[in-house]
Amino acid sequence: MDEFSFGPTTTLINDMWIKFYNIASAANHALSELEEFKKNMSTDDLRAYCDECAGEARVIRAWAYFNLLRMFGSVPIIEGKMTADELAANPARSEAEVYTFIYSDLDQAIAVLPDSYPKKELGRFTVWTARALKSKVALYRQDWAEAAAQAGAVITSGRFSLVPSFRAVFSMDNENSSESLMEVQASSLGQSSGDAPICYYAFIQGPRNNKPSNMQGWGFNVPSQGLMDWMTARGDTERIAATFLVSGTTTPEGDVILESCANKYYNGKVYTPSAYNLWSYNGYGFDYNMRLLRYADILLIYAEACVQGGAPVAALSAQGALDMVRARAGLTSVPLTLDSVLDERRAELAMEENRFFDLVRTGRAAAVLGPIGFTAGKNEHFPIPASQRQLNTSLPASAGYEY
Amino acid sequence: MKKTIILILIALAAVSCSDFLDIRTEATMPTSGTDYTKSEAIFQSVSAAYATLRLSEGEAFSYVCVMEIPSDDAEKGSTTTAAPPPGKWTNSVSGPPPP
Amino acid sequence: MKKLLTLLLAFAALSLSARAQGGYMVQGVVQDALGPVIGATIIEVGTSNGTTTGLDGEFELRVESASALVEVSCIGYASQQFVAQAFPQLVTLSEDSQFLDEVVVVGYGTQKSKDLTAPIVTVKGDELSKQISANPMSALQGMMSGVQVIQSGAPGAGPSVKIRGVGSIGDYAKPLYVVDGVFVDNIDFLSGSDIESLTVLKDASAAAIYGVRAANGVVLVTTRKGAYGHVNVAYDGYVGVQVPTHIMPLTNTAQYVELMNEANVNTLGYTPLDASTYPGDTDWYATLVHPALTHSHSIDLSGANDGTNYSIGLSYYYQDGIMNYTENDYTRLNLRTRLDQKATSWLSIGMNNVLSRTMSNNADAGAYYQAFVNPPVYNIYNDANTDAYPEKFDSPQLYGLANSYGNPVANAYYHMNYGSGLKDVFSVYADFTIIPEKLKFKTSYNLDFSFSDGQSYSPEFYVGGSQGSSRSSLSKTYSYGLYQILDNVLSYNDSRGADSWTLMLGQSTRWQEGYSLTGVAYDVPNFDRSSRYLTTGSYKNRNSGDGASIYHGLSFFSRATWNHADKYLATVTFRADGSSKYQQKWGFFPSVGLGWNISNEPFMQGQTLFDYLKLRASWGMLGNDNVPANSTMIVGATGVAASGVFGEGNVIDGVAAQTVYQNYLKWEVVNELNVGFDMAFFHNRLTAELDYYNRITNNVVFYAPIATGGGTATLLANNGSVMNQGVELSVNWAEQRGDFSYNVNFNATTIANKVLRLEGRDEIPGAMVNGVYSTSTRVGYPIGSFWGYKIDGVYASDKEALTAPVSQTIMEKGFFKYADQNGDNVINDADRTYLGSPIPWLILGLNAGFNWRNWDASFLLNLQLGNKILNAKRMNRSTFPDANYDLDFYENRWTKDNKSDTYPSADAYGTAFVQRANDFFVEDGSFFRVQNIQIGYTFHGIPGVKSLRAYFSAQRPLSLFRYNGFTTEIGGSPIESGIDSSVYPMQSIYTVGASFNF
Repeated sequence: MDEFSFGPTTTLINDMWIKFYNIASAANHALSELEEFKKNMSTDDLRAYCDECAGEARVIRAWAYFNLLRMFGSVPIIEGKMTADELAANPARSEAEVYTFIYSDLDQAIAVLPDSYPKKELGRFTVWTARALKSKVALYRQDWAEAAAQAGAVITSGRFSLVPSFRAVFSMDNENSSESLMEVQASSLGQSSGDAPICYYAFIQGPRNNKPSNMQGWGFNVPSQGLMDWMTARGDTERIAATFLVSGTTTPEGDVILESCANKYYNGKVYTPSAYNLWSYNGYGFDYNMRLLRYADILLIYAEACVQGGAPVAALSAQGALDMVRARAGLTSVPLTLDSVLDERRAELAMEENRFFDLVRTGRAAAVLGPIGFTAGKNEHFPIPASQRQLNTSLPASAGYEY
Repeated sequence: MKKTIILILIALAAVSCSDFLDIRTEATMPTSGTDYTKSEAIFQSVSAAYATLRLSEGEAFSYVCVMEIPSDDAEKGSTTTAAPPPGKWTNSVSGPPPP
Repeated sequence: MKKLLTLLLAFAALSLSARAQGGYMVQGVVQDALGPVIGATIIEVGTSNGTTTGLDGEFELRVESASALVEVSCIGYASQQFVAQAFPQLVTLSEDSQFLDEVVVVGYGTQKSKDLTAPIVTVKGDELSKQISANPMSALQGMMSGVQVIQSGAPGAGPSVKIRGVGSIGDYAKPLYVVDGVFVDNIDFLSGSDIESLTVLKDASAAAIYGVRAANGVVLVTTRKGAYGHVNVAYDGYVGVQVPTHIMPLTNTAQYVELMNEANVNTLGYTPLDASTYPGDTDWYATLVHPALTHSHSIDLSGANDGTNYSIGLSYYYQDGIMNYTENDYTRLNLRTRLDQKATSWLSIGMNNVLSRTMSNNADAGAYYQAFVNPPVYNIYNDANTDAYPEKFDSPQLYGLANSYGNPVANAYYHMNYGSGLKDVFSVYADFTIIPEKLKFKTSYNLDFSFSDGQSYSPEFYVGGSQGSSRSSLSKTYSYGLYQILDNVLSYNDSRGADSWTLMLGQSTRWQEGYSLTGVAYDVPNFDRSSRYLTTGSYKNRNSGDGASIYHGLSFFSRATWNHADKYLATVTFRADGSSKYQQKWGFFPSVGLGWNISNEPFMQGQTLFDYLKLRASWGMLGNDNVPANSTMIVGATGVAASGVFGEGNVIDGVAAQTVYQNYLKWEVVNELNVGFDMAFFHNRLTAELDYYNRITNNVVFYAPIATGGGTATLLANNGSVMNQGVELSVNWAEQRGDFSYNVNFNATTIANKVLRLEGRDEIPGAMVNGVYSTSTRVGYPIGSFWGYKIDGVYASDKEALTAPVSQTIMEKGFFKYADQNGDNVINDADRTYLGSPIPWLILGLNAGFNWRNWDASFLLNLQLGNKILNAKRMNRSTFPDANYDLDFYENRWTKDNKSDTYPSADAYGTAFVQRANDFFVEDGSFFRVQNIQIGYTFHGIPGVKSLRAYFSAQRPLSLFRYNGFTTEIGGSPIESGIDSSVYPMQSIYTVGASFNF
C-alpha cells in the first residue's frame, strides 16, 4: 500500500468495501425496524423517539457512504431489503448522486436528533454529530457555504471546547470529552477475556515486540520520519509528544517503549497506558474509543471553508478558529491562508485517517505523493475490488487499474 | 382392510405434518417476529448498527492500511515481511492459528 | 503342473495321515456331477486329523473310532458329514450356492444375495475385528471397492468416509449409518467385536429405501446375535504398541542458520546469525512424540433356544496418545445387549441396546504446529529463564523470535482438555404376523441419545513473549443430542409357480434435537481435575452461553420386488420425504432396479465358463437432507458483537440481522445410474463384480458468496450440479489344496469427479492461503481443484532473468519462472491454471488370507493414485519468516552450486511471490500402504476351550509416498480439501493378541 502497487485484487481494499457496506446494511435494517415500531407506538413521545433513533441510524449510514465515496468514488446505493439477484445487478451511482444521498440522510437526522444524551448513553450521536459530519462531507464536496454554515452552527452552540492539553485529547480519561463529536465506543467491561465490545484499532498500531505483553501490538501504521522532520521544523513540540511514541523512551505514565521494538516510531495517539490494558495478553488498547470527529477538526473545516468563500458566523472568525487550534498546541498565531489551514490540518489530525483524502480532494496528491508512487488519474480512488465486480456484474472497472 | 389402514395412517399423518415440518431455528430471535409494540425494544437495531462501527483485528488492519498508509504521514511499519493477522488470537498459548 | 502339485500334496497328505495309529479306517471316492473331485478335504471333526482326495477322487483316513464324525468339504461345494462307520463308498458333492442363498441385510428387511439388483457389499464382523483400530470404519479401508476411508491419527478420532466420490459440495457428503435400525452419525462408538456384519449400499436404488441422507451411500451395521443350539462365550483381546512414523525431517541448528543467512542476504539491516551463539540443537518432534500403548478386551456371550435369541457383549478399548509431556488418551467401554423373543406364533418382539462410554484426554494439536515452525536453536528447559513459571521452560523470545513462536513442549504441557461422552443406541420392535408366511407388520422405536461434556483448562503460567496467561481459565461445555425414529413397515410376500414377489409399505417419523450449554470462569486453581469447576474460580467475569437445534422429518416409502423363475428380477422403490430444513417441504424420489440371472437361462446350461452370471442395472433418485437448515425468516443475532456500548461500559443489547431476502431452498437430489455384472467361475472359486456408476447431484446446497449490501457475505442456496462416475471391480479367488487354503480379494475403484453447473457464477473460490484463494470450483473440473501457476523452471542467473521473454513481478536468480498460459508474455491472474484435484482417480485394495493346518496369515494392501495435496505447511514463511526449514528443502534448494530447475533459492522461498498456489506446493499425494499383516495360530484340544487363537498383527507397518509431509490422508470440506497445514503424525501399531471360544 505504501508504494501504490495495490490493485483490484488487493484483499485489504475488498475488506474495506465489505466493512462499510455492512455498516450501511445494519443502518438499513435499523431504519426498516424503526418504521415498524413507529406504526405501533401509541404516544407522540414514543413516535418522536423512533424518529430520533432513525436519525442516529442515518448518521451511521451517512458515515459509511462518506467513506465509500472518499475511497472509491462512484459506488452503488442500497436503501432497503433486496434479494440476492437485485444486489447482483445494483448499478454504481455517480459521485453527485451519492453526495445527494448522504446530504439527505444528514438533513433528516439534523431535523430530529437531540442535543445530548444522559451520561449512561454517552456516545450516541447528537444533532451536533450530524452537523459536524455534514460540514465535513460538504468540505469534500467543495460546498463551502454549507461547510461553513454547519461548522458555524456547531461553534455557535457553545457546547464544545478544546481540551486544554493536546496530548490529553487522546487519553483514556478523556473519552467522550468536550471536544468529542463522533467517537466509536469500545470497552473491555473490565474483563480479561471472553466476549466484550472491544475494538482493535489501537492494538493494530501498538509497539511491536514491546514488553510487557499488554503494551505491545502488531505495530502497523507507524508515523513517518518525514512527518517527524516536518513537525520538528514547525516547532510543534506538544503535538510531537502526543503523535509519536519513540522507541527507547519512557512515557509520562511510566510505560517503556523498548529500543528493541521493530520500528522507531509508533502512533502515539492510540497509546493506552498499561493500567488500562487488563485483557489477558495481547490486550493493548482494547478500550480505546476511535475519535472520528473532533472539535478541532470542525474548527479547521470552518477556517478552510471561510477562506474558500463560505460565510463566517458571529461567534468566531475564521482566523480565530485557526488561532484556537494553534494555541491549544502551544503555537503562536499565523495569518489565515489556504496553505496555513491545510498545514494545520496535517499537524493537528496526523495519523487520524485524513491526510491522504485531504491531499486528493485539494488536488495536491500528485505533487506530494508522486515521488512515492502516486499516479494522477488513477490513484485518486481505490479500485473497485475485482471480486465485487464478479459478484455484482453492473459495477464498472475503476479508471486506470488493470482488472 | 389393508387399504383402509393405510389410508387412515396417511390421513393422520397429513393432518399433523404441515406444522410438524415448520420449525424455526433455535437460539435465535426472529426479527419478523419482533414485538413492535414494546417500546423497550426500539433501540435494539440501532445498537446493533453502532456495534458495526467497531473494528475486528482483520478489519483494523485493512482500515489503517487503506485509509492512512498511502499518505506521506505514515508507513506500513511492523516487520518487513509481516503479513496481516490471520485471525483473533486472544489468550492463545500456541500463537495465531496457522494460515 | 497343477497335477504334479496336487500329486505332491496328496502324497504329503497321505504320509501325514499315516501317523494316526489304531482306530478305524475310512475310505471312499468323492465326486461331483461331472466326475471325481481332486483335492477335497476329509477331516475328523474336532481334530486336525485329515487328508485330501487324490487324482481319482480317492482317499483313506484313519480316525479315532468308528463313531467319529467325518466331514467332506471342498470350496465351491456344500460340505457333508457322516459317522465313520456309515461312510458311503461314493460321496457326491453338489455345488454350493450358499453364497447365493446368503441373506443380505437391505433397507428394512433382507434379501437373498441372488435376488439383489443393486451393488451391495457385505463384510463380516470377524474381518473387521482383524484390523487394529478404534473404529470399525477405519478397519474397512481397502476392503471394499467404492469406499474411500480417510484416517485421522488422533486417538479415538473417527475417519472420514466417502462412497463413490464426492457428491455434495457442502461438507455434508457423508454416508448414512444405520445400526440395527437406528440412524447414527458415525459408528465410532462401536467396537469390531460388536458387529456381526457390515453392509454398504452403494447406489441409489439400494439406498433408496432410506431416502433422506442416504444420497451419499448407506452403511448398515448388524450387531451380533446368538447361534442356535449352544451358548457361545468368546473373548478377544490384544495389547500393542503404537509407533509414530513418517516424521518429516527438519533442519538442525547449523543447517537452519545457513538457510536463514542465505534467505536474508538482501534484507536491510540484517546481521548474519551464528550457530555457536545458540545453546541448543533440539529435534522438536523427537521430543514431542513417543511410542504409546494400546489394548483392548471384549467378551461376548450369546445363545439361542426355542423362541429366544440373546447376545451380550462387553468391550474395553484403550489407546494412549503419542504426544509426550501431556495426558492424551482415549478409553471406550461398551455394553451391548440384544434379545429377540418369539412371544406367540404371530408376535415376535425384541430389543437391542448399545451403551457406550468414552473418556478422552485431548492433546493440543497446536503443539505439533509449533514443533514444526520452531527453529531447533534452543532447549526445552532453561533454568536461567527466571520469568518462566511454574516450570522453567526455555522461551523462543529469548533468542529474538517473534511472539508467534512458543515453546512446543510448554504448549503441550500447559494444555488440559478432557472430554467424556455417554451414548446409548436403543431400539425396540414388535413384529406381527398377520397372515403366516405372507403378511407382516413391524413397528419399531429407535433412539440415539448421546451426552457429552468437555472441559478445557489453561493454567496461570508464563514462558516468554505472549506464551502465557496471567489468569487461569476454564471453559466447560455440556451438550446432549436426541434422535428418535418411529418406523412402521407392512410387508407382504407371495409366490405362484415360477414367480415370487414382495411389497413393502412404510412410514417413518424423525425427531432430531441437540442442546448445548457452555460456561467460562477465570482464576480456577490448578490443583487436580476434581477442583476444576466454575464454582472454584472467581465469580467475576464468569459468563455462559447456550444453543440448540431441532429438525423434524416425515417420510412415506414403498418397495416392490418381483422374481420370475430366479431369472428376471425387478425392484421398484418410491419415497415421499418431508424435511423441516427446506422451503420445498416435500420431495418425491423414485428408483428402479433390474436384474437378469443370465446363468439360469437355458442357453447357459451347457457352458462351463460361468458358474454364475448376473447383469444388474439400476437407476434412482434420492434426496439429501443432511444439509444446513434454511429458515425463511431472517433470524436476528444477539450478543455482545451485535450490541453497542455507551457511557461507562453500558452495553445496550442489540439485535442484528441481514437485509437480504433468504432463498427458497429446494431439495438436494442425487440421480444415480448403475450397471453391473456379478460373476462366478471355476466352481465358484472365482467370483467377480464389475460395476459402472454415474451419480449426478443436482441443486447442491451450500453457502455461496453474494454481492455486498445484504449484511452477509454468503447465502445458502441451491448452487449447481456435480457428477461422479467411475468403474468398480471386485475379484475374489478362494482355493483349497489339502491342508492349505487361501483366498484373495482384489478391489479397484475409479472416480472421475466433475462440476457440471454452477448457478449464476463462473467459479467458487476456496481455501485462502497467504491471502490468495488456492482452490477453485468451476464447471468442467473436479470440486475443489487446485488453481495456480505452473512452473517453467528457475532463473539460473540474473542475466537470464533480465533477458527472459516472459515478464513477471519478480525476475531474479533463484526465483520460479511461471508458465505463460495465454501467450501474452505477462504473468498475471489470467495465467493461473488447473493444477490437479484432491480426489484420487484410482483406489486399489488387495487382501489375502492363508490357512495351513492351524496357522493362518493375512495381509491387506492399499494403493491410491492421483490425489494432490497443497503443502500449506511450507507456505507459512510470510507469517513465520524465522521458522524452521525441512530437510528436503535444505538439500534440494537452488544455490549457485546447485542450480536446481525445480526448487527455489532460500531467498526466493520466503517471498509472497513464490509462496502461493503453484505446482511446487501442490504435490502428488499418491501412496501405497501395507495396511495390515497378521499371523495367527489356533490351538485345539485345550480342555474346556473350544478353540484358542493367538496372533501377532502389524497395522500400517509400511507406507510409501513421495509427498513431503507426515501423511497423505488430508480431509477437509469438499471445496477446501487436501490443504495440509497441521496434522497429527500417523502411527504403526504392533500387537499381540488372543481370542478364544468356550
